[in-house]
Amino acid sequence: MTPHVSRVRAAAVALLLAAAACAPAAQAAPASTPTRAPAGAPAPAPAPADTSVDVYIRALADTTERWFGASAQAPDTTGLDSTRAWALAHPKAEPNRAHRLRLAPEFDFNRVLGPAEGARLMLGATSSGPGEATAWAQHAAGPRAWYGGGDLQRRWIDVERGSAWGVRARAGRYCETLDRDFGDSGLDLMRALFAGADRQHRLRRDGAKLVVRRQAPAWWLAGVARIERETPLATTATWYLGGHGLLVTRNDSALAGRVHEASLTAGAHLPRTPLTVEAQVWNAGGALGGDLDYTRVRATLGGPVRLGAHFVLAPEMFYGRLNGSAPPQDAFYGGGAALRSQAAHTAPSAGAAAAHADLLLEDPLQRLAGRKGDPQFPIQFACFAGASARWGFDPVTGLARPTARNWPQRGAWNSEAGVSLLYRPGVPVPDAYLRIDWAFPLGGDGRGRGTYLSFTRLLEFRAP
Amino acid sequence: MRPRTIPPPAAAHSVALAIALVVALACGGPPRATATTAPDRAPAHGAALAVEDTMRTEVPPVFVSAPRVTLDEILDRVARGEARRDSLLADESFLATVRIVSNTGGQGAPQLLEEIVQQVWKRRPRRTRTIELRHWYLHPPRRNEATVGVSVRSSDDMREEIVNFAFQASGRRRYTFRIAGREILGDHIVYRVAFEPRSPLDVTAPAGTVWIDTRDDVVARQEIEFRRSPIPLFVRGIRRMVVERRKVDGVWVLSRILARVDATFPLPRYGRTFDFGLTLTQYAVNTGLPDSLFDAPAAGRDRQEGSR
Repeated sequence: MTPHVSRVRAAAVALLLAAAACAPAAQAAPASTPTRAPAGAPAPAPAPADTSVDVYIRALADTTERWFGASAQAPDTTGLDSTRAWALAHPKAEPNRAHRLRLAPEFDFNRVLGPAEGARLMLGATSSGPGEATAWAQHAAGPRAWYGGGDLQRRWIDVERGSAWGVRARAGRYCETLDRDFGDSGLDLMRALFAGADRQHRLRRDGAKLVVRRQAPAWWLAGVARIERETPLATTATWYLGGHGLLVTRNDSALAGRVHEASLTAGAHLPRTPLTVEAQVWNAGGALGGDLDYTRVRATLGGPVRLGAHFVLAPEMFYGRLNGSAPPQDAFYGGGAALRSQAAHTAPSAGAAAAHADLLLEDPLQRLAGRKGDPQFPIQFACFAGASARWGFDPVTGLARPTARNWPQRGAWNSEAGVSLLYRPGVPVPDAYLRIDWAFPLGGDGRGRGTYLSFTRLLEFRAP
Repeated sequence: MRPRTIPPPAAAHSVALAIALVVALACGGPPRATATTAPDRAPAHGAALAVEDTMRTEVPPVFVSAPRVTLDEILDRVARGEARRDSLLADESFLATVRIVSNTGGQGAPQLLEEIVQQVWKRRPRRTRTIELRHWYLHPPRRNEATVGVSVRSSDDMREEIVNFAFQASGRRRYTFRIAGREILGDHIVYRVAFEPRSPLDVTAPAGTVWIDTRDDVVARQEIEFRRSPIPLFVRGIRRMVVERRKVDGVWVLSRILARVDATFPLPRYGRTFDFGLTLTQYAVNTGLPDSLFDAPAAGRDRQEGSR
């Protein structure tokens, strides 16, 4: 746009604004000094539509247009009419996206499967028609075995109420982690492939699973039923991209058996607080049948609390209890998020309780150092404290075993405090931080102070 | 009871008085200036007024008879207004233009890198058709060249969630709101309502300000602000993002989305700072788009026509 044209436009806008400002004044006059229409005079014409809002919004748009310059210009429409006419006269085959088959590569890597390559086929959309159907297959080079399956997902979303119903049915052969509470498949893959630092233990599940979920703005509810055969797996790959020598080589054995399990999850945002509470119950065996018999309960409470303009406190609490037989694949695994000075996904137990809080400085350290603008790599500072306890385990084998206790003994608690430097890259998980923790154990349980590198969320206790 | 707005005459009166006051103050300058130029009366440092001297004026009281409503009520009305706006639309068609402009950081001249023009038709329920009319590159990518690409897809509804996401039922729980300002324009009141994520750890939710026309109870404009980059590894920050609407045949429709992005590293072809612009023009609403427009043609027929 030439300066002359923009000046003319600015002048026009200024005139319009002036007119808009004067128009109400002109209307005000009759209101303050009412005059009577002469008898027999024709009825006054209806008042013109009030365009002052349009003028105001247009003026704001003009300001925006000047700020963005070329990016905000209207397109050159020369030739578009004829292109459109030709396209309509010669319609291309544009298949409905909901009915188009989509193909995506599938890749996984861990010490049990080794590299596993395959593909995923998707058809439909989750929120229309019969839903989205997915079929996938993957060949694991380690055990030279095929994994794969299919699932069907459908969601019904009520935008006005902000609620949704969802149904998902799946069947097939899956490789999953023994730790049912903590973990992220994407992060586990990165740890295993690039650092050889994957601590998760895995098992195989063959069977079917049905999930029904109800989501409202303030609460959610989910029911799950599954019939699956669970099989232990062994380590087949002891390498990663950086070489050999994994942090954890052995893969803990799951208890083999057929599982008939039903579970219920309920959660809510606590009114007038930033806290979220969630409770889950799993039940297997008994009237449901199957080889494994247990009841598993877990509850979490946590949420971020803003403290002033610069700090965020992120407290969370966790309680878990396993009754009946205590198979490793249903036990609770401490460490990690609960206690940084204790390795994650280790030490299974039939009971676990933990409390943890991070105090995060929201401003990047670079800004505190006086640098203005957004830093290239915003580094944040935090300090933390936590306590964790486990009970219901065999002190010799380290495996979980049944217990009648519902709460740990006083001496079972381990605690720590420390400081952290955090960087959030935003990928592959938007709210996960790459963090270096300096943790100092509190109490004399033999843990030494140490430096830990991890990639985790700040609030990790909620169900994945 | 439907609350009444502030009566226009009173508001206009105060506006007129304010204008008169400004004019009077502006006109008050020259005589004093004249006085200072008079050599026999002007002090060395110009005219002086006593500290105790006060300008007196009388402003008639303005009685606001409109009942007050809470911010929550305004937010409820916006949710209903947006739903009403959506229900007014049976179909719409528009020309969508996406522009990527590089070099917008202030160094060097901005350069248009890519432009995509699409004709879009939408009809309730969930029917949409898009025809790409132009795809222009400054530097067309070579085959197998790794580039950052732009892909534009129109959703199959007319709810315009990018404008009203914070006011939807699910968004209300996620954000906190406050009144940031108010404009009285004729018999309209335009509220500026600022919102920000309730959770300080919610990195994907932006903060922002919306302009709400309380006559229609719809969002007329929105400025979005990301206090922290959603993906700091690639995006250092979003300097400014504006979402605009305009009225077409009495219905507020999305007219423009503009964003200036600072990349953490210079991106291939896009550089370090670039603009993303989506402009929607040539709107037509409720024209009764025919079924034939949305029926996907058979691939075979297309090939046959091509072979002829």
